[in-house]
Amino acid sequence: MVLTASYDLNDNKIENNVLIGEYTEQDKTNIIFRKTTSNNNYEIITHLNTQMNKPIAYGQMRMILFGQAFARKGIGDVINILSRDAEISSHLQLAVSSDKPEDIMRATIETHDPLYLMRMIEQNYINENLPNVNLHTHVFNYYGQGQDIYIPTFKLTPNESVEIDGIALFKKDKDVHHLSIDECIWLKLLLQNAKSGTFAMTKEHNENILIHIDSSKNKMKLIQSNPQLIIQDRLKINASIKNISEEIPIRKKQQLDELEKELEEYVRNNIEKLTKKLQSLKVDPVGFGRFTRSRDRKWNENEFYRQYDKQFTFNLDVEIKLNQIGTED
Amino acid sequence: MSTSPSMPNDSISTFDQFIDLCSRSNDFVTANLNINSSCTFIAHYLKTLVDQSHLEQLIHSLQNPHDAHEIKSLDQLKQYNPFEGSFVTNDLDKIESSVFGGFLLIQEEHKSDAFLLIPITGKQGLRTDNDTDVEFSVVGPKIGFIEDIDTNVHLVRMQLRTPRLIVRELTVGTISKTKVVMMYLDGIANPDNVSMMEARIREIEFDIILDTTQLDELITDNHNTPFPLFTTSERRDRVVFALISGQIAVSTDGSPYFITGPSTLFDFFLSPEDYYLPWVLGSFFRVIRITGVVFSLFASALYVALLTHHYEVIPKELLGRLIYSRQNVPFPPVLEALVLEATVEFLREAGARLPSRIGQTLGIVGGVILGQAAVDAALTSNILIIVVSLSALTSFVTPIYKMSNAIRFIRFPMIILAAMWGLFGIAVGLSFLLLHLSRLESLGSPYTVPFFPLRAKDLNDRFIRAPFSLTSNRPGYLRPPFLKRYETPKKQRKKSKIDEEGYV
Amino acid sequence: MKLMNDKYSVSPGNVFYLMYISLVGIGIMNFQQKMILPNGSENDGWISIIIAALLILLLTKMMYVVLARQDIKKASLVHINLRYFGRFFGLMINWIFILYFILGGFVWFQTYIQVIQLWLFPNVNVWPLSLLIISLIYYAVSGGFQSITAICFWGTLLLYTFILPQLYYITPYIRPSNLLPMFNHNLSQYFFTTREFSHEFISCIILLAVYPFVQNPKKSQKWAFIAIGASALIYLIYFFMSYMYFSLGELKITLWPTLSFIAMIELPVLQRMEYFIVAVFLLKILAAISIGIWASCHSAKLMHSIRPSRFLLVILLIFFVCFIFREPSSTAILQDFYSHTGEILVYLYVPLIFIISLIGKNSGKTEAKGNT
Repeated sequence: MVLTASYDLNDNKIENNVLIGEYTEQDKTNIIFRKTTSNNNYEIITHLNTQMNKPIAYGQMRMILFGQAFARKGIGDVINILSRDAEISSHLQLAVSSDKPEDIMRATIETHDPLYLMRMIEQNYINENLPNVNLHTHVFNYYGQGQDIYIPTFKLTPNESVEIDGIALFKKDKDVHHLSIDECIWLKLLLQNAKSGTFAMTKEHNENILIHIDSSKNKMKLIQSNPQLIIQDRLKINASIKNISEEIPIRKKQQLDELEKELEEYVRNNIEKLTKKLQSLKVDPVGFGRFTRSRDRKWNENEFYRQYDKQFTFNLDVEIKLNQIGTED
Repeated sequence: MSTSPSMPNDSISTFDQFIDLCSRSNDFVTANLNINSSCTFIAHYLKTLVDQSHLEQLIHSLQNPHDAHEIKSLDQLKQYNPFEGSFVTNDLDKIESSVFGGFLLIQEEHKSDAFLLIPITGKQGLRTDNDTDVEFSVVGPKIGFIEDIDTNVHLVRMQLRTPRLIVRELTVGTISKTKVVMMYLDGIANPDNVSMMEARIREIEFDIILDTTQLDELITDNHNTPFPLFTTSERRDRVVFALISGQIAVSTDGSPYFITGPSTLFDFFLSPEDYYLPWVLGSFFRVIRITGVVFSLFASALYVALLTHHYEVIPKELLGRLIYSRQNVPFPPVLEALVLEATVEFLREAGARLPSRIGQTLGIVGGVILGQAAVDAALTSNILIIVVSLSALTSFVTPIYKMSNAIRFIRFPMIILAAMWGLFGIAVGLSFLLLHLSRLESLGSPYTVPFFPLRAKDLNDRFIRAPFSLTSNRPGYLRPPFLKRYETPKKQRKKSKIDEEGYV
Repeated sequence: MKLMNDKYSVSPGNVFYLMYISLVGIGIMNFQQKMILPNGSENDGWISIIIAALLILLLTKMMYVVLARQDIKKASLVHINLRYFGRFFGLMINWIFILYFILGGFVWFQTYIQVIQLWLFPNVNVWPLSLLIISLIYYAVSGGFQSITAICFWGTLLLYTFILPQLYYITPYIRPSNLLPMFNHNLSQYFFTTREFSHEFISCIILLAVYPFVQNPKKSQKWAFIAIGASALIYLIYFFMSYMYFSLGELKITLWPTLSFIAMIELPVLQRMEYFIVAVFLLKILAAISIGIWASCHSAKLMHSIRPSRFLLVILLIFFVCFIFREPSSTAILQDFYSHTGEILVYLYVPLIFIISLIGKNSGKTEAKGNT
């Protein structure tokens, strides 16, 4: 039974690797690793079956990993196959790996969990900085107008374990840029009402603050769409301080207010940096296009993205409320 | 009976022939009864049927010197005998059935135009303890019926002390001539139902009635169904409850069971115990019972369907365990499930026919050892053992044994359908089941009432056991002429303590 | 006023289930598709749903008026046609209806098997399945009107029990902004969508056939209206859910949107709820097919005294034969044909008899005086 699969490009041939769960011991799952190559995206099952003593079933497949080369060339074909097959679950996760997918998959074998990568992603969007993703959101964005897909990325750490290192931004179906994991939180705040996420701020004299986001609310407003597109966004964040350097005074209300101000400024800068970056890359994972479409009757996808990088202003108001100040004071 | 098709046709047309035929049996006794000199009576009886002490008592009282000389005819004899229910007749059929019912037959010597019949029936050999063995309950009375109809009627009458309780006696069975008693509460049971029941019983053509449950099949609306269409019960409280709800109860002599009807599907999930517990608990147990039955119906079938056709439906966390437990099993899931289900049935069938002590041993052998060994030998997966034994367990939660039989039976076609067409097969089974249930009728009234046809007012006492304040009306689907069961106390606005406490 | 034995008729409330089952067909699984076509009104489709429901409400009211003006013993489709159109044309129209009901049953039957094939058993041989369904239909219809009402009841009940949990699990994934901007389509698109969508509702004509089997039929009008409201509500719920769940582009390639979004639901013990929904949907389809076939059997009985049980066997045989020799492409053609015939029957025929009945004599009040 295939649980995790990967697509990669090698000498213009498509290389598929799969992790197959084999349940021979009560508590541990053994993982079988298989590798095939073919000329197209469709023959993976047939090729795999030639290597197995039992028929391959893919109805429980929950994770597909793309090699970077493959992702650069385009994953639209695979998304198309996945979205049409009734056996494929909408909870499937996609990811791009910066290193060879084969190595990443091999690195998870010793965990005895063929879905280790999938669980990593789910764990991270529930508790950490990753935005909510699954096959449904990808398909939604891929076929919908006005939003580009974004897919988590994996890489190998020097000591041969796997980590999520950010988000791959796609233009149409091609991987164009990777955001670092620190930038993910800003994307997450724009994409959804976040329930989790942390970021750290460093002040001038190397004092650090670690902030955990308890909840956020994001409200965009279309100020003007022609000739210049202006979107006004109000971001409200309830956050708590996880850790704070001793040097920062927060005992008094006033000091706290000041800190909030500082944080607001910090968040605003970072998000604006991100949106500038998105604009210059001409990708729209946030869905500015989708948002404008819903407010503007005359919206046209091609028109919108032609002026996206130049004639688009994104104004942001951030409002942060700190709830809880560490466990010790 | 001369017209009986099940008996040889050389009919008994005269009294002499009758006596002749009877004399061939060794237990038939003919004796002269000399009470006084003026006339001699001849007595005939079957010594195995009469009570010897009653006979002695009779002869003793008749030989009382004071009365003896006054007895000159059968009529006088009838007057002086101390037993109720004696009568004079010359109807041969009646004589036949009475003699074989344990009556003493007396004729005047040389006269055969009139006969006196005195009931001195013996009742030895009947069970006297009337515990409820089959439908046991923890709370509530443990009075059950026994094999004697008079005792049973007596038991019911003890609780329904009203002249409205009508007891009708009918005779069924060309050979057994079994006394059948039909009871209902006049003015509460629907007269249409009463007459329909009576007509159905009268129409029965059958040779021998051994048990009330036979009647069930003989008067049923649909012969081709595993579902019992009348409630069978040996509990007095259940029968009495049925009667006051407006149902009709029928029992035959020699059977400790009553059948009550018209019944609905949900009657089979009620237990009298529900009414002896607080309504919250009663409802809880009833819901448990109903979900248990649903589980029992579909659990094994779902297992087979999911493992054979739709493994995608099983969550990934569960799937690992399932595959692990099944990986060495050489059979397809359907065979595995069917064999295990059949094993449970074998165990039940064997256990039911054995004395209780051996039955216990059998349960241990079957349940524990067989199951463990089957898993060890990798003949079956232990998850299936859990599923099958749970569903066997839950099939017994219905208070009425006949219903649990039906439910266990239905599981088998379900499993086969599931094996062939997976979830779709189960849906086919479910559709068929619902259709079948909706088409069933008990004594002409629909079986799935109050769901279909929907009667919202009757729903309160079906899925849950409603508190007594809500069940003051009889269920409407029985169409009782008199709906009100009891007056509910006028609702007083309950004040909460916080409103009342404090000094006034 | 008692029309027939209680044994064969049902109480007025049951009209709800009968109508509901006829109104909510297999189309609930993919009606969203029809609104997306180049000339559909897409995210404004809900307007069309409401308009279509109001139209059907009006037509149902007309049917009730027509029926109320008939002699109570002859208040059925067959008798109305014979009365207003004469023996020859009446018979012809009746036969059109009979064939129409059978066709409707067949279309549903075929579509449902297609769904099963797609979702449950991509590689299975379907003719045993079809035989199984056909035997179920036989069992349902041979039980008479009451058993059909019963299956309608269970079908309605089961469908409803699945809806609330669906709403609960889907809510986190919906994006209300998909519905915006409102009213961004032109009139012809609204018209087109309304017309397409009203095809889901054309089976309401069944009312003319079941009417005489309802005790105190005039009271049932309320229930028929409620049924129309309830089915419009169901369509609206599914419309909003799927349009908020899918992006428009995604909807274009999703053949069965309702099933696809149900696929999102994961419970701790079971995932992929759509497998269950597809299977349980059998009950609903069975009910819908059964009413149609029952109506045609009964009409045939009224016209030519054909024994319904024989006629039923003939119909089912035709079903089976047609199914075995079907072409994959014929499903869509039949569906189209059925929808367009239905359009004529509902939108032309009903107003026509409505007008004729207003002009003609009212036999509803003066009972048993015979008719023309």
